[in-house]
Amino acid sequence: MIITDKNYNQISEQVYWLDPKHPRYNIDLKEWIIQNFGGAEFKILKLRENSKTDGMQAMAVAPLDEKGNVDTSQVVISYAGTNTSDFKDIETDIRTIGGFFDKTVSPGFSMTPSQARVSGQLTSATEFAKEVKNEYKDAEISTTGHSLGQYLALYVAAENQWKNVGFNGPDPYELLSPEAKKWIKENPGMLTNYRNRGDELLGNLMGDGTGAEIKISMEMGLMNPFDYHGLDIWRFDKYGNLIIPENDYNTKASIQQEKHKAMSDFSSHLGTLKKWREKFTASGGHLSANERIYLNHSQTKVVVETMGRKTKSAMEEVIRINQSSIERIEMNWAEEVRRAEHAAPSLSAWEVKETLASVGVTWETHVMTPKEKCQQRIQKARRKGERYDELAKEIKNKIDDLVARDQELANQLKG
Amino acid sequence: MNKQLLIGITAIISLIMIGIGGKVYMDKREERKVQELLIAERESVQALKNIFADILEVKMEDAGYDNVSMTGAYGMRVTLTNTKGQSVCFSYSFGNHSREIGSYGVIDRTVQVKGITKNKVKVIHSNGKVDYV
Repeated sequence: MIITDKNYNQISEQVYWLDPKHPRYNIDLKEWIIQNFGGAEFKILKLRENSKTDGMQAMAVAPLDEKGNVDTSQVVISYAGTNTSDFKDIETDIRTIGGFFDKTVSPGFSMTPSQARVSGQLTSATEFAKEVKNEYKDAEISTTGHSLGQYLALYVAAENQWKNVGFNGPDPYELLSPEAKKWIKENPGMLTNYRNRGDELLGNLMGDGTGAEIKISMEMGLMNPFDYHGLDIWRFDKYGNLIIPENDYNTKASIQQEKHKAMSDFSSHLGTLKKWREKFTASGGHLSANERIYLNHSQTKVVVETMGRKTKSAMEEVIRINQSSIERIEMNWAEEVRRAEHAAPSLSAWEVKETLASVGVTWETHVMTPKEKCQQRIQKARRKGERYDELAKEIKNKIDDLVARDQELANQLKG
Repeated sequence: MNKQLLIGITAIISLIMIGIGGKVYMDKREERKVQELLIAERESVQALKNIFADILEVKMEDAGYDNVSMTGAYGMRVTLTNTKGQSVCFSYSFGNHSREIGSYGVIDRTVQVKGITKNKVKVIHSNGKVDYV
């Protein structure tokens, strides 16, 4: 099962209500109960409720498969954000995220991962993740959260090299270890922090050192500044993907979203292949020739598909830029002619065009030729996209052929 | 002296008026919130009808808006009774902007049967008022 943005959003919401001090405390949220999060059912594997100590709440869940059995090959860890009625959460916001109250450095403000900053919720979040990792060793773990919860989730994901999808989180880059920073650089797209353009007072704080940010204009107009921070602001399509409204500001966000999804699918597919390799060699034997071919081809397919998606989104960007250039070229020409006519009112339209042509400014040179160049670039981009599709198809056919011919391999894959 | 008295009286009257104005504003805001909650309860039952089959009655045991953590959601705890007279108590969230049920507990599948309820459902609101959706 694919865990969608919508599922992550709802898991991030419910984890808040684990807190017995929260006015909307959900008494049913217990280990081993089933909860529907954004249209899919999950089992709650593990909970941590620290309202009496540092104020952290965390939850680990795994989806149910089609037969209703819990599928622990995927586990999501979520962390609760700020409950404004809990002083411990507010204190964590100021001390851990903001870097204040650090008496170990002068003048009580720190930009480094000092003990004062990482103690409390951040340490508890790391410990909880470690316990889940030990209990579900084979699982592909991802993290999520909202606001402070996403801050903790980003930190934990980066330190453990896991996928993350969360909402409105400040960025924890300055607290990360050098290894985590290196991993982030080498694996862009594994962390996704959906941010609202208007959420400058809370969610968009502390920069974007992790590169996780996808900043979206939700076209909300002017409203209470805290409303931009809401978890319920986000919209999802029927597949559970977060909808990015189409507008000029969001062009970058749409491309980033596609790249992040391609990267996270890539990592997930590679994880599956790693499991197949382990399964094939589980009995202590070596890989058969066909098993090796299958794995190598599958790995190539995953790489090609990911590159294909990245190329496709880059090509779409090229097409979009060139299409808007074509529109601008035509508008500029009309504006140029209008201004020339305005500057010389005594000349007829034909005479104006003649005069412009005498200095080398014609419709052919300023509209036709640039338009043709743009169109050629669009065609080229489309051809490249098609070539990638063909390559992916070819590799897929070869794998299917191999599995069809090798009955033993087919049975292994089914089992 | 008269001038000081006048200033004093004006200040007291202003404070009283601000106080009354503030009280009226707070009362109206409270009233609006109560109305909004009742609407959310009603709409959320409508949404439940598109998730579960054979619902006869939904009683709001506890309902309210999450005003402390910016989830933007209402949290409801209900007792749902089906047309066979079986009941289940569970919680769900309802988005203030999305007007959708975001998550819910699966407590008893024999009562929480996936499907659609077409008949009118009796709703007992959190304030005791009875409604049909």
